[in-house]
Amino acid sequence: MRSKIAILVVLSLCPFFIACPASTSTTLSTPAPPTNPAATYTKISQALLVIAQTTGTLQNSVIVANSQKILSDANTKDILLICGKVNTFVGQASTIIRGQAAISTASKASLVSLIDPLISAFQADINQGLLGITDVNTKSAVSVSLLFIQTTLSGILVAIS
Amino acid sequence: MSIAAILGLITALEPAVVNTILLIKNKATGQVTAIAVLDSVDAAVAANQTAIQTWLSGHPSA
Repeated sequence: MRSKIAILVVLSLCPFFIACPASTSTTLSTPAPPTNPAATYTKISQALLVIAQTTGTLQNSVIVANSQKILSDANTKDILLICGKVNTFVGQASTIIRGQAAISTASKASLVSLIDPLISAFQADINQGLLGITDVNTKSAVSVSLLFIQTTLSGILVAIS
Repeated sequence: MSIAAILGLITALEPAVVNTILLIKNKATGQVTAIAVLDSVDAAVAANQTAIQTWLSGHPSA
């Protein structure tokens, strides 16, 4: 009889121990570090700012190169049109994530649907934009900037995946 | 409630509760930071688009 009572007491206390794992095992009670959605939000916001600033710098550089006749009107236009696509994406992405405490699943899907085609077309756009640039230094500088933008765009895709 | 009791209560808090408090704190801080960054993003994008339009309008044959 005593053993049955003891078993009943132990069983009745089980939920308490399960609910309070710290009292039974420190290891089990320690949760995994929380993933911080706000960190992703901040990270993407900062990536968007880097892209916008780099794009602005690139635009100014090609416009100056064009004014100095280093870059043709056609090449300048090609590169500016790439920059325009990037600006459009960055503006849309900013609108999507603004005002959210963390990036929602729906917002992630929207961002992916915007960024995927942009990245897919980026290499072809880069090749087209660089095609006729004869000045080696300008070609190299434009190439580096565009590749940096492409890499940062890919980084956003990784961050939200 | 005495200070000792409050300290005891804090010490006794489950790590999950502490992490949740930290998460809420970080979320609030992160959101404020991100909104300020997004304001800069929007301003930069607007300036970029204006620069492109200005150049294109000055080079209609390009």
